[in-house]
Amino acid sequence: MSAQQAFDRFRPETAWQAYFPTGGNRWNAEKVAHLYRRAGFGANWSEIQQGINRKPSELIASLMLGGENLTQFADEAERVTEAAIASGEPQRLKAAWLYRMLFSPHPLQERLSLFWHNHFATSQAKVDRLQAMQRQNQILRQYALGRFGPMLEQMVFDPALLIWLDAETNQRGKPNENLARELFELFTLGVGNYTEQDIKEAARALTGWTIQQGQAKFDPSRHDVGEKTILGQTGHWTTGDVVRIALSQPACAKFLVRKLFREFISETVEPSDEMLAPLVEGYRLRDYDTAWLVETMLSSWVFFSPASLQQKIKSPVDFVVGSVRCLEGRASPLKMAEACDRMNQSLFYPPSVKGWDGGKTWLNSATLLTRQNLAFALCAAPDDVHNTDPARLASRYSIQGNVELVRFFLELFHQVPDHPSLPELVAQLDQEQKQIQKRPFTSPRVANGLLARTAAHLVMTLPEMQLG
Amino acid sequence: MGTGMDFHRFRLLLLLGSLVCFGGSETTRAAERAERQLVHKNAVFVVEVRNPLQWAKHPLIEQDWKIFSQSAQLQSRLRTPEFGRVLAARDFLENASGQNWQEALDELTAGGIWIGLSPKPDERATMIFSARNGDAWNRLREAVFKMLDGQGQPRPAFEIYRGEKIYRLDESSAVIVGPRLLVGSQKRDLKRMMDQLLDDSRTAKVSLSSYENAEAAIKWEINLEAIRQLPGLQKALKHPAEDAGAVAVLGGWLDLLRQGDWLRGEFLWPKNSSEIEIKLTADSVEPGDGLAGFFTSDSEDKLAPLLEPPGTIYSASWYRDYQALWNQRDELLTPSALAKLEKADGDIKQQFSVFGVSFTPSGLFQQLGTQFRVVVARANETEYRVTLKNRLPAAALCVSLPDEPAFLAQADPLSRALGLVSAFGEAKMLTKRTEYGGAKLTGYWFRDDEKSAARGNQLRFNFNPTWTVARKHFVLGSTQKIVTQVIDELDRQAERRSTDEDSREEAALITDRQLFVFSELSGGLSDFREAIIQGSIFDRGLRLQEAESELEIAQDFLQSFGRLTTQAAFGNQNFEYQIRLSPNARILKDR
Repeated sequence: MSAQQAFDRFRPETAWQAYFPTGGNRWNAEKVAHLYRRAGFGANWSEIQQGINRKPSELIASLMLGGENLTQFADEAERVTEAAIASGEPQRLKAAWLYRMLFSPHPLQERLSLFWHNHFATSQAKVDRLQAMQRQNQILRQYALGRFGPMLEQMVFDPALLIWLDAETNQRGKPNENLARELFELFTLGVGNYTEQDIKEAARALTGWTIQQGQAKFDPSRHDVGEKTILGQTGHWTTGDVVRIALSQPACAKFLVRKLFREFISETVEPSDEMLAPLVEGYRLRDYDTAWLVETMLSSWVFFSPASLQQKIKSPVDFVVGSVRCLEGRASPLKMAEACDRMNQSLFYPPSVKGWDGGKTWLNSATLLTRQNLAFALCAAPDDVHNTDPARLASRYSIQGNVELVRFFLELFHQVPDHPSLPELVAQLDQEQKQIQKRPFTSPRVANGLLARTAAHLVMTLPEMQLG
Repeated sequence: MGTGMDFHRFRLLLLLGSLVCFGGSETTRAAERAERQLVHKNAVFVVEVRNPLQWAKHPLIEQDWKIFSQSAQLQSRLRTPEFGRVLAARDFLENASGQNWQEALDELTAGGIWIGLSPKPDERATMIFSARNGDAWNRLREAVFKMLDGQGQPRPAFEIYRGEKIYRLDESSAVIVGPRLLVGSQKRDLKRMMDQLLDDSRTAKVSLSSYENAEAAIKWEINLEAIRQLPGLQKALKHPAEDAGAVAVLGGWLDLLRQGDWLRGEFLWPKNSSEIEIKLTADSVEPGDGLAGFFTSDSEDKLAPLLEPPGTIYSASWYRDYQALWNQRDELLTPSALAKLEKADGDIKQQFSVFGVSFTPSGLFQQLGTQFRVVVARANETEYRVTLKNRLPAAALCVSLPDEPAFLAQADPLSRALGLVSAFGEAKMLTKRTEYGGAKLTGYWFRDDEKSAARGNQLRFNFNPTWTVARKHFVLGSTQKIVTQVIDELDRQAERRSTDEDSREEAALITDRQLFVFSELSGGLSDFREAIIQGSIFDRGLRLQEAESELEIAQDFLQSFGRLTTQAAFGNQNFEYQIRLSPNARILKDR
C-alpha cells in the first residue's frame, strides 16, 4: 500500500485526532524515532528506549515544551552565536546554528526555526550583514511555536528581509513590488489567491522603509499615503494593514497548513482540501497558533501511519545533525556546515526567495556521495573534527557479537532490527572479523569495537538512511 | 613455518618493541657498554635508553597524567579500540611473563635499549634490547608464537645462523641471542652482531652490576663527520657560503657542524630531583675564525642577563657581533653572494633616498652592539579605549648600542619614514611621542575612536609598536607598556650589576640563554581564553562547558611544567647546550 493510499483511507473528522496505541497499532521504537526525527533531528538510543516507555501524549507534550535548562542553554548558545558574529565569518554563524540544533534541549524549536528560515528564505549572499541575519534568525526562533501573525508583523520590518527584497527602493511614486509579491505568494496566500493589482497596491502600502544603522526606519516622506485597494479592502493602508489583510484571507491558513503538512507529515502525499480542512479551520480559529497546529499534526493518527512514516527525504541538515545526535558524539560544527554546503543546504544562504525545494532534489550522485563519505567519517576512529565513534556506543550499551551489532545499528537508525539486509550485513561483518583477528592484540573488546564501526557504517549507507 | 612474513606480524613485533621502549628497570650505567660496540659501524645516530620505566614514575609525569585523566576528551579516546590494542598488548605481556607489565618490561630491558640509525644512502637501522636474563626474550617469543598459532597465523620465516634462528619480519630481521633481542634492517648487521656476541664471552653477558643506582636517561650521539657527508647538508655547510641570509641567522651553528666530530646528548632525570635536564655537547670546537661574531669569546662584551618583566612567558639573550660579521663578509661569503649583498644594501639606500632619508641596513647593523635580548610577556592592560576579549602577549627586542648618537643618526630617518607610511597606510596610524624615565618613546597607534574601533579585526588593539633609545640600548616593543617595562628592567639590572661581580664571571663564556615560563604561558591562555574556547567549539565540536573544562586542564598541565631554561656555552674546546626543566613544585604538591 502506497503512502497516498494509506492517507486516503483516513476521514477528515478522525484523521487528526490523537493517536493512542492499540493491539494492531502499537507504540514502538519506529514511532518514537519517527516523532523525534520530525519534531527534532533524531533520537539517540536512550531517547528511543525511554520514549517507548512513555505515553505518546506525554512524549509529544515534552517535545512541545522542550527539556530542562532552556534558559541556561539560551545563554550558552547566545555566547557562541555572538562569537560567531564577532568573527565576521558566515561559516561560523552557520556553525553556531548547528550547535543549537545539536545541543538544544528544545530541538522542535530549532526545527521550526529552520522551517521558517526556508519560508522567509533570506540569504546572507545579498544581505551581507551577519548581525541582521542573526537578528532574523532569533525572530524565527522566538515565534517558531508562537502565533504566525506577530511573527509576520516582525518579519515585514526585519532589516535582513527588507534588504533581501529591496524594500529600500520601494518609494512613493517608484514602488518596488518584490516584498509585496513575496508576502502574498510565498509568505501568506500562495499563487492564485491574489491579483497583480493587489500586489501593486500592496507595494504602495509598503513604501517608506529604509535601513539605518542596521535598523528598519520609517520615512514618512517616502511613503505613499494615498488610498489603496488590497484584496477587496480599500483605505489609506500601511505595512501593518497589508499584514492584517493577508492574515484575514481564508487562503492564508490553507497555504500555511499545506506547507506545514509537507514539513511534518509527508512529502509524498498530496492531501485534499477536505482532509486538511479541520487543521485549516482550527489554525484560523486559534489565530494562527503554530504550536497547536504542530502538536495536532504530531499527535495524529495520520502522523503515526504509513502515510507519514519515512515519507520524507532527509535534508542535509537532518542527515548531518541527526547522525551526530544518534551516535551521541561530537563533531566540528564548522565541518558540519561545510558538509551541508556540499549537499546544497547552506544555512543562511537559501538559493532563492522560494527557499530550498527539498524532497528528491536533495539527492543526486554528488550529494549522495557526500552523504556516504560523511557516514564513513562519522563511523571511523575519532580524529580532531569527529568524535562520534560507534565503538563507544557498542561498549556503552553492551552490544556484542556481529548479529547483535548489526541489529543494534539497524534499530538505532532505522528501527528495523530484522531488516531484510541483516543476513548480508552480518556476513560482511563476519568477513571483516576474520581480517581483524589476524591483527595482533585484537582482544574481543577491540574486535567488537572495530566491528561496531563497520556495522554502523554499513547501516548508515542503506538507502533508508536517506529517509526521515 | 617457513612462509613469508606478513605485514601484520611485523607490526606486532614493532609494537612489542615500542612497548619495550616504555618499560625499564634499575639498570646501570657503564662508561662504554658492550651494546655500543654492537650497534652497526658508521651509525649516524646512536641512542641509548636507560631506566625508561623510571620516567613513568617521575612526579611530573604522574602528576600530568592525573591532570590529563580529568579530560573527557582523553577519557573518550581511552575507550577506543585503538587504545584497546595497547591494553591487549599489556595483558598479553602480563600473561606471557606471569608478571605485571611494568615488571615484565623491566625484565626485558634491564640492560637498556640501543638504537643505531643511518639515513640515506646507507639507510640502516639496528636495535638491541638487553634483558635481565637469558630466558626473557625466548619466553616472550614462545608466547607470540602461541598467539599466532591460536589465531591460525603462520609463524615468521627464519634462517639458521650459528645455531640461532634469524626471523624475517617484513623489511627487517630479528634474532634472540641469549638475553638480547637484536633487530636490524640488514641481515648482515645481525650476523655481525651475532659473531661478536658468540665469539666474545665478555660481550655476551649483560652487565648489570655497574648500572645500579644510575639515573634514568636517554643518551644519543650524532656523528657529525657522517652528517657532513649527507648530500642535503653539503650545500648548507659550504664555506664561504652562497646565502647571506643563512650566514646571518645560522652561520655560527652551521660552523659548529663543520668543526665538531660528535654531537652528544643526554636526556637526564637526575637522582632525587624533580628537574629534567637535556645536554648537548659538541667536542673539538672553539669560538674562533668562522664562529667569531656569533658566539662570545674573550672579548669585553658578555652575554646580557635575561629581561624578566612581570608576566614573562619567554625571554632570550644572545651574543651576536654584526659589525664583526660585516667586516668579515668577504671571508664568509662567496664573491657572487657578497656582490648580491652589497647591491641589495645599495638598492635599499637608493629607495630610502626618495624620501630624503639616508639609510642602509649595513649602516644600521654596524651601529648595533653585541647584546641582543627578546622578551615576550603577558599584557595585562590594554592601552586603547577598547575592551579586548582576546589579549595577545607583548614582545620586545632590546639591543645594546655602543654609540647612541650614531645609532640615532641611522634610525631617526627610518623612523620618520615609517611614521609617514603608517599614517598614510590603510590603518591611518597615529605617531605619538612620550617620555618615560627620561627616555623618549616613539609609538605608532591605531585609531580607537568609536567608528574606527568598530571596523576590522579587534586583535590589532593588542599592538601599538613603540621604540626608544635608552640606557645605551635600542628597545623596540609591540606595545608601549612593554617598552617601559624593559626600561625598568635595564635600570634594575644596572643597579644589581654594580653589586654583583660574580655573575659576570660566571657568564663569561655563556653565549645564549633562554627562558620559558610555562606557568605564565598557562595564565596567558586566559588572556586568549575566548578564542581558544571558540576554537574548541567550532573546530572540535565541544560544548561550551566542555571547552572551558578542557582549557582549565590544559592550563593546569602547562602550569605543572614550571620553568624551562636553556643555555649555550663554550668550555675547553667544547660547546655545551643545556636545557633544564624545573617543574612547578607547588602544583605537584597541591594536586
